[in-house]
Amino acid sequence: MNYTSESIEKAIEIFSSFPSIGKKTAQRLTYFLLRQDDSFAEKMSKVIIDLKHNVRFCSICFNYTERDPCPICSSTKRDRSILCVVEEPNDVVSIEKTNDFYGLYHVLHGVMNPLEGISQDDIKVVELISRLHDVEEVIFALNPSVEGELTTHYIAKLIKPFGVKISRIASGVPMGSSLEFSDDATIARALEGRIAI
Amino acid sequence: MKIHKIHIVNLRNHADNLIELSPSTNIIHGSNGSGKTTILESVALASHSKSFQPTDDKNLIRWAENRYFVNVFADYDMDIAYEISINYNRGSRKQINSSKGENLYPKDIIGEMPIVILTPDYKAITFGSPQDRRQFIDTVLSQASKYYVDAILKQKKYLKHRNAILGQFAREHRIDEKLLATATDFFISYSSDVIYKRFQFINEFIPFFKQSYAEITDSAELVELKYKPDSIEFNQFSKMEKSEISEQLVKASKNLYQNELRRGTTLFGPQKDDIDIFINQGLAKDAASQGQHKSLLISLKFAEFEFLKTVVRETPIILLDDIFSELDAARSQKVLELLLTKNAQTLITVTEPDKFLNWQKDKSNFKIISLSEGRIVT
Ligand SMILES: Nc1ncnc2c1ncn2[C@@H]1O[C@H](COP(=O)(O)OP(=O)(O)OP(=O)(O)O)[C@@H](O)[C@H]1O
Ligand SMILES: [Mg+2]
Ligand SMILES: [Zn+2]
Repeated sequence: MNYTSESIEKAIEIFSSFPSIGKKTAQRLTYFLLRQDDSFAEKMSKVIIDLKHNVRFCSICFNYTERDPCPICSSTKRDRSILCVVEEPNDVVSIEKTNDFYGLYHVLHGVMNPLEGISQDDIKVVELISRLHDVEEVIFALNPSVEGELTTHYIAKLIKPFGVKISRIASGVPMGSSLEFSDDATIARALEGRIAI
Repeated sequence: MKIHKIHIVNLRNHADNLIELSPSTNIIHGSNGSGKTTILESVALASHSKSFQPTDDKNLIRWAENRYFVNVFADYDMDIAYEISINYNRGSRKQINSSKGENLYPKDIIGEMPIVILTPDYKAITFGSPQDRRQFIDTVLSQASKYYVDAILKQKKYLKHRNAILGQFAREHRIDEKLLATATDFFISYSSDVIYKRFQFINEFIPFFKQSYAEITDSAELVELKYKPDSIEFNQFSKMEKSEISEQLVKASKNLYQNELRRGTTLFGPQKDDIDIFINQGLAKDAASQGQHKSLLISLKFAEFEFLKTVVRETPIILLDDIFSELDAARSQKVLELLLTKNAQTLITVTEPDKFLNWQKDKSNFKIISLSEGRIVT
């Protein structure tokens, strides 16, 4: 092809499969790697292998963790009667950064999307329901998309019979945006002003 | 709003053009295919991030290039500067930055720089199908109300989800009833917002429409608009509350439920609305003569201008694409005279500037922009 080495081509291909990395950036990353010492490449490959070996899902909240249950689920300082439901592990990081939430989390790993055939079986809904026995309040903090709204209200309908208090975060996060790209103050305000469903 | 400069890069046959505009009338002239309409498209992109021609963004990129870029420098009526740029790279999300913020979504910029467009294609508004008329109200209302933009976008999304759920039942006889119920609740809620806004819009729009029809035709013909919302019964003389609208939609959804399951699709809602346009006693689409159709369309557009100017409190920019080729000399002159009373910035594309300029005694207000094969020639 255009490159003088098949290894370079493979590296570029793998980098450009990352989200938001185009061909040009992939090429820059590859040439950067080539300029580093061997030790850098060894360290990097070990980091990647460790990442895949050591990190798995917490069997309670489905966040990423190295030990199961995860530090949040096993912490004695957290309020176990409040659950915050989020879409992705990223969102836990965003909410933790605000230092404003002391309950536990539940990561759904997606939202329902009838148009794309994603149903409740494809996300961690049953797992959420099985956690409800000693929970008093469930706060939904899904992204403010149509699908986030649909999923929030659908699950709210499902869990209503359990008699828990159900709310969602206020729509301080702009529609079409996501928790990942919102600043701490916005998320904190949204958590503060939660709305009962 | 007045644009003073447009920078166009790799849009259709424009490679790299910096175009200075007059704050009043701009005549864009050149042979067929020289790139006149493309300049109007660049203004539409700056106004609501989409062309007024039904085409994909990737078709707008100049052949063999990878991106297009449009940068518009304008002033609000209050003389405050406004700048916006649209940058589209093949395969990525459109980058929109303006003096109002970076990384904007299309819905953030709609209404900021209001425009009124008239092209021969818009004949469909008075001739064509209900969808053409819905599209007309949607473009006007979207520029006038951010609330409407939000409601209509969500209404359309929920319609698709709802149809997917119903469609799956029709095919596989499987249904998650709670999911359908949730989707229906939201579909009805946003549909009610849309219908409520459309009612309100038609009422406010009618006086503008009647007045501009009278101005254009100097005639005593009576024109009228009537909103015909699907599944809603209403008394023409009393205001409809939003709660009433949603109650009626709930009723319709119950009545149609079995039918919807069988057909696998949504059978009610504002995606089926229409607006009747009347001239004297008859429906325009059946009764109006050729000339009356033209007058109706032009007056709808002038009314759109006056309506937007009133609600957005900003003078819209008027874009006229190739319309004088469709009008006789007398009507063209009339339209042009009316146009000049509006004190709006106007961009007009023509293939024969001479004929056009002869109608005008005072030519000093006009700026002529000549194009040849995508390049400005002076
Ligand atoms: N993606 C593209 N890349 C390059 N050229 C294009 C592209 N798409 C369209 N064109 C050409 O660019 C020109 C677009 O011109 P435009 O529609 O602005 O012409 P016009 O001056 O309005 O013509 P008319 O008088 O026929 O309406 C045409 O010649 C068309 O063939
Ligand atoms: Mg044209
Ligand atoms: Zn956990």
